[in-house]
Amino acid sequence: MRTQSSDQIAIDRPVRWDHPLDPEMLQRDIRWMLDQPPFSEMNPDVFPSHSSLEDVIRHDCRILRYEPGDVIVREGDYGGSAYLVLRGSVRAFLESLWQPRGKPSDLSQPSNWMEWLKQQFKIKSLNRSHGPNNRREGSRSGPQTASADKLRPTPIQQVETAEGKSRIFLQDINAVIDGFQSEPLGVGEIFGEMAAITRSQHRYTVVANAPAIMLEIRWQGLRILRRDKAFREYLDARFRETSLQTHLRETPLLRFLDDASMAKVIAGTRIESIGDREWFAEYRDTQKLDVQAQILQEPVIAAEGHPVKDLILIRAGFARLSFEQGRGHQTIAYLGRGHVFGLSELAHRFRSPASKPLPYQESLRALGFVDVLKIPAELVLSHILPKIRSSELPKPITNPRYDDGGLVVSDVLPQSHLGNSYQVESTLSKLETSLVEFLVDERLINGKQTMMIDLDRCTGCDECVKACATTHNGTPRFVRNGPQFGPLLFAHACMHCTDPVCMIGCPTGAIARDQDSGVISINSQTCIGCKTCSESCPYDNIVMVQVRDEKGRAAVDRKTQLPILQASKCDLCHELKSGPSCQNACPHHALFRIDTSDTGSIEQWLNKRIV
Amino acid sequence: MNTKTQTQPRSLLETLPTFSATSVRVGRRLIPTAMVILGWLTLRAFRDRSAENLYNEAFVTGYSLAAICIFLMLLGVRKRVITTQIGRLAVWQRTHHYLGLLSLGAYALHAGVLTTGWLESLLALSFWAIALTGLIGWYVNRTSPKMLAAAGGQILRQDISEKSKLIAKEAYTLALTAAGKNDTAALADHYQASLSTFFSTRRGWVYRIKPSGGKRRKLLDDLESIDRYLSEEGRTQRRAMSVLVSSKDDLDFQSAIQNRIRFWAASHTWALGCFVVLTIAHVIIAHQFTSSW
Repeated sequence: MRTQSSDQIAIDRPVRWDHPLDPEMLQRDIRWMLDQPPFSEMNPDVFPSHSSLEDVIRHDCRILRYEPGDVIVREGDYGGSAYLVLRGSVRAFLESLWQPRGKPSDLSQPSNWMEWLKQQFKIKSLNRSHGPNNRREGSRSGPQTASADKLRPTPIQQVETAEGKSRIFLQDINAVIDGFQSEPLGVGEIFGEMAAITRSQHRYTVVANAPAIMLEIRWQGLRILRRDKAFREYLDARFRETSLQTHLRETPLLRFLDDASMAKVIAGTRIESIGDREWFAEYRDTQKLDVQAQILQEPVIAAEGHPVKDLILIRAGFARLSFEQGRGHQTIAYLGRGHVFGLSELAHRFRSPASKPLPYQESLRALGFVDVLKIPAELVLSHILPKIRSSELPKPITNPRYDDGGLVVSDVLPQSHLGNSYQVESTLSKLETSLVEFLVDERLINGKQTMMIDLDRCTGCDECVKACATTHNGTPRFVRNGPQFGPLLFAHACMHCTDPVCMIGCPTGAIARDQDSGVISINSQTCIGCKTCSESCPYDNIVMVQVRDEKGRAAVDRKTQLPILQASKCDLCHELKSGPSCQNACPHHALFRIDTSDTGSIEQWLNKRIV
Repeated sequence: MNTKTQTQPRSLLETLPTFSATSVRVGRRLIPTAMVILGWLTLRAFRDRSAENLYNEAFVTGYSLAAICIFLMLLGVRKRVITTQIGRLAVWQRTHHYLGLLSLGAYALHAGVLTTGWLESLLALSFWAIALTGLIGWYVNRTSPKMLAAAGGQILRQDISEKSKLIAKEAYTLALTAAGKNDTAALADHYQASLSTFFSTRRGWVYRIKPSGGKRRKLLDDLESIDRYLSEEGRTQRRAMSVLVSSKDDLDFQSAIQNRIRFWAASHTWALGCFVVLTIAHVIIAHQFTSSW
């Protein structure tokens, strides 16, 4: 390093693959892997010269060894890599081994203090009976999983190996294999790609049941490998097959289905992807249009007034639930993963088989990218609805907006249809329509940790900005400004999105999601300042800042003397035990973090809001 | 092999039930107020007990007041400590407000309302200055957010000057366009006569201390009154000019209110500085001229 002047320092510009996934990868290993399928079957000519197949294996892959019982991927963790089985065998548990973290059903938020006290006794009794490692009841409740023998614990342990790495393993793998539904994965098979491609949580746990050797391929490498047509088709087919099965098994609506009915439903269901995974580019263009024109640009998944052919389950992404109002479309809600569309209409048909079936009462439109599962109406009527408790069915449609003859009424808000979606019924809120429309139009529905400032309390004292700057070496990582709805300001701060499109193009994996907390942060060691993430963020929440050393000197390229930039964004102060410093520093209780992907959270916050 | 068990415990705090908005509101005001009253009564009883036992009660109340003041000053320390987990600033601020109230009571026990002697009077003056600036600051912090929200929402203070310049430029361009045609020229004339100064200069001291909508209303009324001299195109331009007048006035209002918040916060700090110096002098003199506790 050579000092240029007192306020500048010249360094080598960081480049891609400065930090390979496994710096100790041997040339011998690379040659061996090139001889193994699927690499041996790939066409090397489809890869560009600067990212050859060998380069991808050298920099974006690493070989991992596992002992029986070792957990390779864990349900609920965020995934950024796919795994290829090179040797040995592993098992994928499609059934949940653990309760989703932080939301055990028997320890839900109490509504009053008496309930809380009762719960404390309950916690103690649970701890006494199972100890701290007890396995909690699986998320798929119901007669198939809630039986007593399924409540035995599946203890996991974390150990540190001699090399200083940590690994997690199941104590009694054979008992777990006997007790839970699992599928074997053999040599040459890939898993984990679904979470890596969709930047989401793993939906299953994979455990080694014999000594196994895996090849971890990080998302950046996987993207390049997808250039090979056969490999891409294999991944896509596998993705569809796995995601379809996993999602259907997780759907609460189907929890009473026996194995035979479930098999029929799986066989009859279609998975469809609507919109572009890299939707941010299109969104930037459509954002400039009039609101009604924007809605018309959104791909229609199901149109109001059309016959109900399928029950639609949303697997990933978000969709707008709306109906025609005057010359435009009124948004009632946004649906996300796990929500169901078309159930009210089918339940109506199921309850009154003699009457004419009702068409869809509302429209469903894709917001960006959406993955949906479509279960044919006949299957729903014959295999699913007869097994649902009548109390769980949506309310009857007494005042249909559309019937078999078309539009019935045009000027009445169909309140009775709000239960159209199975889960929406409980979460679709009393939020003002205008607030729902604002959240959808601004795509704030993507945020898991959206920074919201209550302007009825904020004095603009800037304590939050100062705290952020103090925590991050003098550079604040958010702007106290952004879209406003009434007294609510949604500041330009990273929302740690449900679908973090900023991660798609990162060539080095510098921007990544913490697999436990879901916090998206940028690794300053591996960020090469390519601007891909900042240009992808539809909310302008990532900025490029000049790299500075600890003395505050700005870094410039040794060769070109141009400034060296790095992406900068809110990291929720994940290194601080006290949590986000901005939130802690607000003297007026004006700054909050809120999950805007869930209308229930917003509603809860608005109800508690004290002005 | 170092083995540790992997668990995901749920902290006790996370499971606590939430209060309803009403009970929170009641709890947040009544409980601390009751504690302030209780604190003051305890201090008074302690003072009386000291007097009965022939102690110097001025030292008891004086040092109690000093202790409260030190706790009050800790808010400033907390503001500078970001990375350590010592509670949310909002909680500190709230505690500061209630301790401030208690300090008034403690001061009354220590010195009464009126004091004699120039040093004591200066000290009393600085104490009342802190109390007054604190109370005004509290009031301003409570009332300003809604005023700011009503005047265009969140506008960053550092952006106000730049935005004002942009609006002024836009108004000038609009006036220039209007000047080009006979049936819109009245707008240009009006701009030259009444609006150019409004757009290009800062508001006067009176407005900056007590902003009001009087000038805005007058300018908008005057603008509207020239409609009779304008064609349809000119009226459209006039409406655009009215929007610019409102925007500029909003920015001026934002600037005045945001500066007001900062002024009272800064005054509180300055008064504190004086108070600390005078208190040290007071303590030294008190010990110098008082024979016993």
